Amino acid sequence: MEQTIQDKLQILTDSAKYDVACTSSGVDRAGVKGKLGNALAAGICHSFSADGRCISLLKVLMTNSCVFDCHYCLNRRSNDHPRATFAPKELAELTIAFYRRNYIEGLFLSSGVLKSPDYTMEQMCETLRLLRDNFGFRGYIHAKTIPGATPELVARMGALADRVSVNLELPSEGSLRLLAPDKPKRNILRPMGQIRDRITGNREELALYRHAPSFAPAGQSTQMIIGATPDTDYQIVRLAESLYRKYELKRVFYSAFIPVAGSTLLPADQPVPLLREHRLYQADFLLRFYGFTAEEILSEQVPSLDPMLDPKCLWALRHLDLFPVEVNRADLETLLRVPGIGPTGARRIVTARGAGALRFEDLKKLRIVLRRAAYFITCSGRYHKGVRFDYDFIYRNLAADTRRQPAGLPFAPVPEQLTLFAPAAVPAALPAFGQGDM
Amino acid sequence: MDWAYLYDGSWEGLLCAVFEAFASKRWPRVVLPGDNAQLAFSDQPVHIVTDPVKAERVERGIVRRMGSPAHNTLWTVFLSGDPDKSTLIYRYIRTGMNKGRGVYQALAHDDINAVDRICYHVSHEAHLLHGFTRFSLMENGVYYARITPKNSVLPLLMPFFADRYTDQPLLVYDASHDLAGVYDLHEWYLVETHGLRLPGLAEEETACRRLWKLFYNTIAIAQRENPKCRRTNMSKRYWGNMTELNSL
Repeated sequence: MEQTIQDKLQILTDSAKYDVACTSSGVDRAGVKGKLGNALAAGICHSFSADGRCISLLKVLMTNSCVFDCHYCLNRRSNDHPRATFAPKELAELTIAFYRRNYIEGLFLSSGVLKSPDYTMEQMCETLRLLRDNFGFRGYIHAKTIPGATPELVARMGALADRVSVNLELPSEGSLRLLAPDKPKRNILRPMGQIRDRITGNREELALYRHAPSFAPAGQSTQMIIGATPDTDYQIVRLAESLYRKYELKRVFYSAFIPVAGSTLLPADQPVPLLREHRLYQADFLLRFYGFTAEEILSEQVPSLDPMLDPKCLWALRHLDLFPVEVNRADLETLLRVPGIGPTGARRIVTARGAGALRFEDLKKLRIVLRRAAYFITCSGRYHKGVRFDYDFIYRNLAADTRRQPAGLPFAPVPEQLTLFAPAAVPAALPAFGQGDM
Repeated sequence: MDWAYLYDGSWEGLLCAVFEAFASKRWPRVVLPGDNAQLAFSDQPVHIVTDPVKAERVERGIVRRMGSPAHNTLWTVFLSGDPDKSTLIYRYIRTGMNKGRGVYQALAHDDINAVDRICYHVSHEAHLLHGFTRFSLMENGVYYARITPKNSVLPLLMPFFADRYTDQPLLVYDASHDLAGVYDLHEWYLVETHGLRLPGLAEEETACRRLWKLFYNTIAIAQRENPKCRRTNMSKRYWGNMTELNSL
């Protein structure tokens, strides 16, 4: 029976929904008369699905047929599952119809491996070519390369898309060998290196010739699955750091493992480790925007992020000797290390104190989160009212701040009534949570 | 005696009120658009006559003294639905004329802070509507969208849509302010409306909506359902105009 476009869209969306990235950021491109579309560097969210995730791009697979047999993946060869494949023209037309109605910012195209990696990549590139050449499409395109495809095809994809990514899939080579036997590590890292070199080369070309054709102007990203293998947070954060440094990635995405594929090699019936994913993103932002290194966030001795406190609070508590920070004097880098002060807040403080010394009520006006920052700062030498600068006091107050607690805590912290003589039940050193706790 | 300045509700009118304050040194307690003036018992009303020449002088004064970013901020705040916006704009100008380019540092000053906050609110709503606006193709070939924003953000939306859809005739109808943004393939402009009579939908429109709804419902991961997160990112007040959250 012939599949309708509805059937295909449903099957290929359903298969793509576990892909994490749906960002449309990183490139500014004005519209042109006679062509369709533009792009905004900040990215635009067009909707939010029932799971609260942003919908920015039409996120589908080219095909969900696959010759590979990766254990974590719904679309693996051995899984009994409805299959479909878009024709390039069909998918390009659907993208344009959605784009014209402002449903989407562009296309996110990934794929299973039909016949061979090269054949699949050709189909994907043909779709992108139709969009760019036949429809004059200037909106956003994020495409995933297929591991094992030839470098020429990767280069072609990068020339058509705004962002390309190579999925890392799992955080270590051992895990990869075990769960994705068809994707050896070199097949992932080689295209990653190739894309990095082309992007760097393209930057130089653009500096010399303004109209040189662009190559993946919004950079490259990757994603990996968290919680399907015993890799620790420390290993993951270190890996992310080296990807940012060595491969100049724009983003690393983490995807909490959802047991859907029913393989015997996977942890079954385990709750989705959403909180762990959340904490990893927090650590990731510390790497990218706050000047932290992986070693500062975690170590061999403390390999897991704390479910109770975010990594920045945790770091601050471990380094109380560096606090309190005087808001009216500290430099930008120091301010960025204060829990409750982000990049925007830190810049605002530096600007605003040029007009006069800041008081706590001024900080509130600058939208600094005093609920956390108050314990770590002074304004003109004064502490915030009611703050005691000691470890126990700060830990208890931060952990009891229920407004910030993400869903999925293993237990709810009870703010306790303090008595004069009872010893406070606070860990003397920071708790080290074993892996698998979260 | 408190002075209350009443102007005609236009941007030029508001600038003339500011001109009047600086010229007469009778600093007003409030500045209000004339039609819905709520005066306190002790307020002495002053009716401002709009004069484009005076308005122009104030505008140039703002740019000369504070720079064009401040002018931009004030103009954005004028689009706001906040009932106190006129008074706040006046106070910003008064403080800003004094501080000059120092306004960009004085983020914690009450007059500056209040305007910055509203400016953020207006720009943010416009940013959200860049994404949340939904067009439908009508049988006459026009792409039509309906929005119900708190702030009158059409002047911020239309340049964006006109740049994006250069080959589509557009009509964006702001139902909360009875205003329509029109793009006719050459330029965009605003039209005041009193209700709107629409042509029927184009033939392929229903099928396209159905596909979009199918996509929307399929892309969500059931195991991760999170209604609170969705509401935080996309407030329910936008849902009424969004294809995927309504019946066909």
